Amino acid sequence: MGDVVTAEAGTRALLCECAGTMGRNLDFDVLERELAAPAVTVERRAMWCGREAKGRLVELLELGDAAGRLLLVGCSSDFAARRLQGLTDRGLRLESADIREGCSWVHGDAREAVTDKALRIAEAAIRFPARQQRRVAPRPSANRVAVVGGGVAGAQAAVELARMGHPVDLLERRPFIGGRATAIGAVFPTGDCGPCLPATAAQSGVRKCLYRNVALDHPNLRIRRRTTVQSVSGRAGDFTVQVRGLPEMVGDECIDCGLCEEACPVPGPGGQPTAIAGEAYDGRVLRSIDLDSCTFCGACAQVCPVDAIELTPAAELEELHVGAVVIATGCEPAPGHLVTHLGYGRSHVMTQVELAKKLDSWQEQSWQGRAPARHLVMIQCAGSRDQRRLPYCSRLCCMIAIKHAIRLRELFPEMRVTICFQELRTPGARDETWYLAARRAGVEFVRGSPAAVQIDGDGRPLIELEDIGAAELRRLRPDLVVLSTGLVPAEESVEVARLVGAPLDGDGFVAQLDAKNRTTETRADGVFVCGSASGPKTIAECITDAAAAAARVHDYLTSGGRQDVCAATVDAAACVGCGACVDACPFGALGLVDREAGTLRPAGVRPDAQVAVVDADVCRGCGICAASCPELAITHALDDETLLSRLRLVAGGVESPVVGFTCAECAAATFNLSGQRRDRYPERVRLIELPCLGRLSALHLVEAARLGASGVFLAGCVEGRCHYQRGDTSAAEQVILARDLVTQMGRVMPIEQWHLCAVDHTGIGHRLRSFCDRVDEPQAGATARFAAADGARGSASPVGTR
Amino acid sequence: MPLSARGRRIAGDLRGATPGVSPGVLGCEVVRHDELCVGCGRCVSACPTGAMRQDEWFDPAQLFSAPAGTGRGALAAALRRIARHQPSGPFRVPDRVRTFRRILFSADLCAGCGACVRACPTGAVEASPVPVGDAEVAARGLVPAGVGT
Repeated sequence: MGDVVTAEAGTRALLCECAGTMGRNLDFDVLERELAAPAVTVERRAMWCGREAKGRLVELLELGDAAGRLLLVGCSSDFAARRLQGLTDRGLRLESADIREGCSWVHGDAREAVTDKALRIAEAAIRFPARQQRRVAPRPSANRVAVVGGGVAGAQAAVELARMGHPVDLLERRPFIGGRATAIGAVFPTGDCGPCLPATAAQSGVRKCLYRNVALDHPNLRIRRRTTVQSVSGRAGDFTVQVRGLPEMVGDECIDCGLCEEACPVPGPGGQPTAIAGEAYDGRVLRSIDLDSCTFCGACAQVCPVDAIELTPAAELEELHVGAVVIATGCEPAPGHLVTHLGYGRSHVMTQVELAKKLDSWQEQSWQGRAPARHLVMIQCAGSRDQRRLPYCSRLCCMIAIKHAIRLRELFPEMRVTICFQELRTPGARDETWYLAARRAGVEFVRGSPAAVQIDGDGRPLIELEDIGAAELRRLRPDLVVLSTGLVPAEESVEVARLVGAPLDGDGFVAQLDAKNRTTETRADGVFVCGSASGPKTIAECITDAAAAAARVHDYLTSGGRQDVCAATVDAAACVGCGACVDACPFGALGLVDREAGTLRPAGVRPDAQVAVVDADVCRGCGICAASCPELAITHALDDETLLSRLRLVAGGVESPVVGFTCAECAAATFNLSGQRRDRYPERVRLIELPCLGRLSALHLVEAARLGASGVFLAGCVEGRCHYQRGDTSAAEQVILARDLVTQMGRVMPIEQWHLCAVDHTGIGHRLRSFCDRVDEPQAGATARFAAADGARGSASPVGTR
Repeated sequence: MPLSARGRRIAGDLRGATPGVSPGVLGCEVVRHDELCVGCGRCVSACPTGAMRQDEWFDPAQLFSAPAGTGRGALAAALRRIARHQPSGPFRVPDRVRTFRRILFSADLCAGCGACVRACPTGAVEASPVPVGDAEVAARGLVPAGVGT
């Protein structure tokens, strides 16, 4: 924890004339005179970002705390940060009072009025500072990474991280790494076997064979097969992961003779003939015993000529201390019950996954010239893109079908292969060539998807569908139907995500922090995701994604923590322990704990009631908790008193002000750019900047009404793109409350919420001007228009007189 | 009225309560003080019989009766300052507005278990135990409830 900075040395206001560009409507003599106060020193310069002035800033920087709190009265904080970046990088801490983009440049020549507004903006910043805190959230303390899932993505991420110098634990539930790719056979787009191992040795870029080479052999890498995650505790950057490892039981002495498999009397899981089974891996056929089906009869150990089998059933629990967790648990084929309407479960109907397994054995039939079917029909989007089943597109099924169709035509040139599709999606690199190859190979494509697959009296499938291309109804009587089912999140994904506290998206995959530029992070700090765990991906995409995730993890583990976030605090003497803040916090930074004995508590609250606490390391300082607290017991960096004082000062001195609350992210960018374009709007628009609109509560809006505001607008990020995830929805709720409360008190004050992004800067001036015009319209008309503009809320009708 | 499965589970966690008993026998009378309520809904999730219900209305009158010195009191005071007339009554709010939502209490559904009293952080729900004679307790086969503080 750092210390809260107090302005003991007073405030030093650095008044900037911005090279005379503000002289048109600002009287700097008045500003200099009025701002000076006992604890305020004013230093006025023609340009504070000029070379000469920068020398002075260096002096102030060297003075340190003795220089006092530095406040630039000039341009916006964004612009100042850019111009003075070299100094801020060296530790200069400069706040800004924006009288340029937010005042002088956007207003007309009414010198007195504009100067008064600038004075109010500067004074609000000087007299009511936000709490600052010089603290750095703790850095991740462990260098180690746990990668959960040893499929293509997990293995790639683990190797990348190991090569970057992080000790990595690769946790794989199954006895083999390689994941689903090992079960596929040949894959697109290369047409060879699924997983090639990422090279761990010096020969980077060289492909290694999963089946031939010694698996993954980097000294930083520890592969834990047959291992699952039991629990995760600790905080971001310092997790304790408890893992449960099943014993190997088949030791290194094994010579791959396979006698044990012949001796085993117990059937294994999922149609596997015996409980002990081998899989080509790591340069040999590796045998493993399925513990769930094994009866420990000892038959295998008896026949083993080299005594490699030791039946010790005890699982081992181990604790790993890691700085980051990567979820790479992948996806799995959709369960069959989703496609029973297409005949799944009956004979002659199978999924693409089952077909893939059959293709290997069919190779032999092809040499004998016997085709397993005369006519084979593939049905695309089976259960996918269907609101009742899987609402999303699994992205891979089209290519899988095309790949299988080509293979079938190669093996059995006389077999008729038909693909029924709604849309074929082949957007990947070289995917279109596969589609063209399928056409050349004689695969028949029919646009149209059957609603059902019927089975006739002979047990043969009957498909009726509308061929959209030919505009006719078609009946197909294939010998075999293959359903291209979608992909669903792996069961472990859901479990692991729950353990580490990473939320899932609407489709059940691990939610990405941001769909655009933070795709490998989850909403839980220190938890990353790659591969199909966040949505179905091709092998190529998984590898790219894994490398991206590894780079992110490396950055997370080696860079410093978040800086200068002033965490919210809870006043235990006012907190009633209702838990509203706990539900409201998007980051899980708040929790309810038992009240310490003897502490002050609000009247009526029982001694054993709980109290909310903020985890300062997790808090991002958005203020949503403070807005949601019915008792105003949470102090944000911009506390209620400061915010209300600023509001009173800034909104004062003008007849019927229009108050705008802007967030410091997208809306600030919009207003700054608009200001630099000098898009003019009336002086009575008074802007208050908040870290996030989520900080705003009904109380502040009611106060604006008390100050005689003729209209209030809230400008924040684009809908659903709040930088603090839920700030816009929190603000929207408060707006609903405030709107009704203000109306019930007999006032008319339109409140609008705007969703902006920086590209809106060209239109924001016009929007402000028209908003000012609208709030001035005669009452009845204005209300009707606002009610109509709002759509969702039409109950604002009984309006009193103003 | 028989208890729901969830009700039995909640009632089973209570001291002195016997899961499966019919309402009204657990012994205390529940009184709500709306002026102390912040509308968090903890009593609603604690109530085994559905006697506590959060509806979709927001009542400014409840806010105005909040004691001075509390956070709700501050909002009420701010509203009083802008008031041109008395608020006309409750208004409907969307589901996602959680705080300050009105809580309705139906005494005829109340089992008198006191779970809401324990759940309420602000002391807005109060329970006074109704004295139950020992003979009556024995006749009903109940352990006297230590519920309801």
